[in-house]
Amino acid sequence: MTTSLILDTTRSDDATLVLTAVGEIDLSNIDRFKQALTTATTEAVSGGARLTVDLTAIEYLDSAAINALYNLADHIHLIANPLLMRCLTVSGLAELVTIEVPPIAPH
Amino acid sequence: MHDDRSEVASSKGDRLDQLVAARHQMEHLVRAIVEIGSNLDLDVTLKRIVKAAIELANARNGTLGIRESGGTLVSFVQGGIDDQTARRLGTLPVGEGLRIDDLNAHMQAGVPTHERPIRALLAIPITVRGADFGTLYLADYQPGRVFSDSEESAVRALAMAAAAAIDNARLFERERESAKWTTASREITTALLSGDPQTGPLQLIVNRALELAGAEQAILLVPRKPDCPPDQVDTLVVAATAGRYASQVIGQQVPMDGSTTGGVARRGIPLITDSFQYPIEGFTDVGERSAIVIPLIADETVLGVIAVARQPQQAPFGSDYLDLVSDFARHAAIALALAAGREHVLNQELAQAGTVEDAVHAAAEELRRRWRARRVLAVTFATPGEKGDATPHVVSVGEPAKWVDLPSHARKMLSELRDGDLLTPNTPQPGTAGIALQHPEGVLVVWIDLAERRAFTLEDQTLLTVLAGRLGQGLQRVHQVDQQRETALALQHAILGPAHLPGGFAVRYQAANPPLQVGGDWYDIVDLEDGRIALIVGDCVGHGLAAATVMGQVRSACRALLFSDPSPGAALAGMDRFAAQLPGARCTTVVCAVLNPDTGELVYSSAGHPPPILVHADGTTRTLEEGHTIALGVRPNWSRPEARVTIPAGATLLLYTDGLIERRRKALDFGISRVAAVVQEGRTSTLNELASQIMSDVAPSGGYQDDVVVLLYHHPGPLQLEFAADASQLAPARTALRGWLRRARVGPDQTMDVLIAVGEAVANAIEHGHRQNPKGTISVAATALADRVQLTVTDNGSWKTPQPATDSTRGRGIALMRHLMQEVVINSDTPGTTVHLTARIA
Repeated sequence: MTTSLILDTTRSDDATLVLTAVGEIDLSNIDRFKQALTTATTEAVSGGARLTVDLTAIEYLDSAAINALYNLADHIHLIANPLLMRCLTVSGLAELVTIEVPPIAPH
Repeated sequence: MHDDRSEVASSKGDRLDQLVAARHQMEHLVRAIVEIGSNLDLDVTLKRIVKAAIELANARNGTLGIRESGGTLVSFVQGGIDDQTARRLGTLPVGEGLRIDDLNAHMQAGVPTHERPIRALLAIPITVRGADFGTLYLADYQPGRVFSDSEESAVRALAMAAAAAIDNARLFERERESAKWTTASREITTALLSGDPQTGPLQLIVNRALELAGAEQAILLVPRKPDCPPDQVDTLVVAATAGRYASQVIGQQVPMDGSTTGGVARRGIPLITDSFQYPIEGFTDVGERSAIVIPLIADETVLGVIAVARQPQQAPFGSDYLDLVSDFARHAAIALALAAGREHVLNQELAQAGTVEDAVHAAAEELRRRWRARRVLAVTFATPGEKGDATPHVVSVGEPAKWVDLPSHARKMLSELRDGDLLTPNTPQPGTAGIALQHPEGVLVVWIDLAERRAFTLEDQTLLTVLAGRLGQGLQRVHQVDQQRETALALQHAILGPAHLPGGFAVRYQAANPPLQVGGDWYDIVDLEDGRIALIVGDCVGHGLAAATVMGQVRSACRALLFSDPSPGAALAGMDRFAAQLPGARCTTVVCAVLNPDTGELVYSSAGHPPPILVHADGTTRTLEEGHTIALGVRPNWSRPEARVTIPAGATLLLYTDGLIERRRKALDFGISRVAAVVQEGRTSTLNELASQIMSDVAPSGGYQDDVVVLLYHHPGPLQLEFAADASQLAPARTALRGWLRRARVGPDQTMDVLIAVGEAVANAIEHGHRQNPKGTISVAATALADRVQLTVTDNGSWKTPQPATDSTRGRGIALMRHLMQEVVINSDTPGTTVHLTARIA
C-alpha cells in the first residue's frame, strides 16, 4: 500500500505554475514527489519564474521531502499547512524559501 | 621317570645317558622356576615349590617347613611327609644344606613314619632377603636310593628361585593387605558421613580393626571427660569393644599415668607389646599375646587409643603392620573429629542457601577458606539428556574462570574426575586436589588450587572427602527444598492473579505472612470479549494459607461471572450468592471496575472496599466513592449499585486493599490522603516506579502487617505496534500513532512533531537497518506519562548515525528528530538499533 499522495500541476490565474500536493509524503512515494517537483520546476524556470509548491493539504512529510525542496530552494515558493511550519523552520528551509501560510488551515 | 642306571656310571653309553639326563633336568628346572614364579598368591607359590622340588630331585615325597623369626619351624607345606615326621626333621640342623644317604644311621632313634622309614634325605634352606624363611625337605625310602650331586644342585637352584618368588608373593600380599586397610578407612569415612545410627563411629572403628588384623580382641579407649583439654585428661575409658570378652571390657577405666594405653595416648606414638602395664580385665589377662596399641590423633589432639590383640598362638604383629594400622587410625581419627562437628561451618552455609547454585557457591567459598586456596573451581556436569550436552557450568572463587577459558588439560582432567569414582580424592600434583560428588543435575567436580605447592596430605584428603560428602547431601537437600518451594510458589502465583499484565498496568502484592507469598488479598485484570478490561481488587477475611485458599476460589468466581455478564454490579451480585455459600468468604470486600481502554470510561461497583483513587494530570485528586455498598455474602439479594467515571488522558487510577492505608489509631481518610499524595507527586514517574514508590513511602516502620495490593492504571495505556520493515507500512503505523496521540490528548502541533520524529526513526530502520534483511520487523512503543510521551522505535537491523555531510537525506532526518523532540537517544548494538524519543506535553 502506497501512502495516498495526489500531485497536480496547474497554471494559476496570474500564470504562475503551481504544484499542488494532497496527502502525505514519505519513503513510499518520495520518488513520485521528487519527479513531479523536478518536472514542474524545470517548466517554471524555463518560463523565467518560480514554481509555487502548495503543501496546504499535506498532513505529513518527512526529511526526504524537505531535502527535495532544499535542492530546488532557489526556484520555489512554498504554501504550507501551519502544522508543518515547525519542521520547515527547524530544518532551516524557511530561511531559504519564502513560505506562505494560508489564513485558514484545512480540517 | 626314575633311572637307576645313573648310579652305575662306567661305560661311555652310560656317560651319554648321564649327559642327556642332566640336560633333561636342566630343562625341567627352567620350567619349574618359570612356573613357581607365575603366581603372586603366597600359598599357591609355596605348594608349587614343594611339587617342583620333589620332581626335580626324583624324590618320593617332601615338605616345606616355614620358620618364624626365632628359627623354629611353625608350619609345613605338605608334599607327602606328614606334619609329625616333618616336625622331627625340623630338629636336624640344616646349616647350608644337608644330604643324608641313610637317615636311620644318621639319627640314633630314627624317624618313625606312618609309612616306610625315610632313608635318603635332602634338606635345602630357603633364604628370603637374608632371613631364613624355611627348609625344603625331600625324602626317599627305597633301599640304596641316595640323592646325587646333580639332584642337590637342581634343588639348590630351585631354592634360590623360590626365594625370589616368595619375596614377590609376600610383597604382593602386603600391598593387598595395605589396600584392605585403605578401603576400610574409606568405608569408615563414608559410614560416618552417612550418619548411620545403627553403628556408632567408635564401634565401627573397632569392628574393622578386629576384622582386618585377624585379631581376637579390639578395644577403643577415649578420655573419660570428652570436653577436657588434652593435657588435663587423667583417665581413659573403654568406649567400644569387639571380639572376645567384649561385654566384659567395655566401660573399664584406665589411668593415663602408669598405663600402656595412657602412655600411647600421651606420646601419640604407636607400639607393639605383649605386656600391658595396667591391667584391663578381660583384655590384658587373657594370656601372653601380641598386641598393637595405636593413638587416634587428629589435628594434633589425641582423641583416643585403639588396642588390638591377637590370639596367643597367632604370629605376633610385625613392625610393618604398625604403619598399616597407624594409617588406618589416623584416617579414623580425622573422620571422627569431623563427624563430631568440625564440618558444621559448611553445614551452616548449606542450610542458608536458597538454591543449589547458592549452595555450590557457598561451599566453594568455604573450601577456599578452609585450605586458604588460591582458587576453588566447582564444575557441574549436567547428566546428558536432561539439558543436552551443555557446557559444564563453572563456579570459580578466588579467581574468575569460565569453562571455555580453562586450558584444555584442565578441562580434560576435570572431565576425567567426573567419569571416575565419586568421593575419591585425586591429587595429581602437589598443591592441587580434586573430587567428584553427586549433584542433583549430574556430577559436581570440585577442584582446589592451593596457594603453595605443598602436598595434599592424607588428612587433607580425608577432610575433602568428608566435606564433599556433606556437600553432596546438602545439595540434594537444597534441591528438594528448592523444588518444593518452586512448586509452592507456582501454585501460589496461580492462585494470586495473572502473571503477565497488559500494558498500562502495574501491580504490587505483598503477603503478610512470609515465606507465604499469597494471602487473602487479590487482584485480577481480565480482558473481556468486547475489548474492555475488568479490574478487580479484593480482600478476603484474614491472611495466611486459609485466607489464600478462599481467595483463590473467590477470584475465579469473579472472573467467571464477568465473562457471562461484563457488568460490575451483576458480577458482585453473583459473588454475594457465592460468598454466602463458601465458608470463609463472607465479608469479603471487593471493588470491581470495567474499563474501556480507548475512551477511559470506567464502570465500577464496590462491596465494602476502600475507594479507588484517581489522580489527574494536573495533580487534582478524587476518590471514587460512588457505587458503594456492603461487603459480600452478608445480605441475600442486596442491590449492587454501579457508578461511572471517565478517566481523562494523563490520569492515574489506583486500586488497593486496606493493608496499604490502615494504621492503628489513624483514620482511614488519613491513609487515603497520604497515598493520594504519593500518586500525585509521582505522576510523572513511570507506572512501575510509581508502584514501588507507593509501597515504600506508605509502608509503616515495621513493614506491612497485613496483605497489601496496589494496582495502577494510567490512561491511555501504551501503544505497541509491530510491522514489517517496508515503506508501505509507514502510513498505517502513522494512523495508529495519530489515534493514540489523540487519546493521550496531545495537541495537533506536537502530534505532528512526534509523527515526524518517529517517521524519521522508522524510515532510517527501513532504509539502513534492513537493506540486507527485507523481512525484518520494526516495533514502535509509545507510553504516556502525565507530562511527557515516551516513544521507542526498535528494529533488529543495525544502522549507524549517518553523518549529515555524507548523507544529506537522513542526516537531516536525525537533526530534525533532535529539534522536534526533547530527548533523542540512539542505541546501536548487535541485536539491532533502538531509538528512544521523549516529547514533553503541556
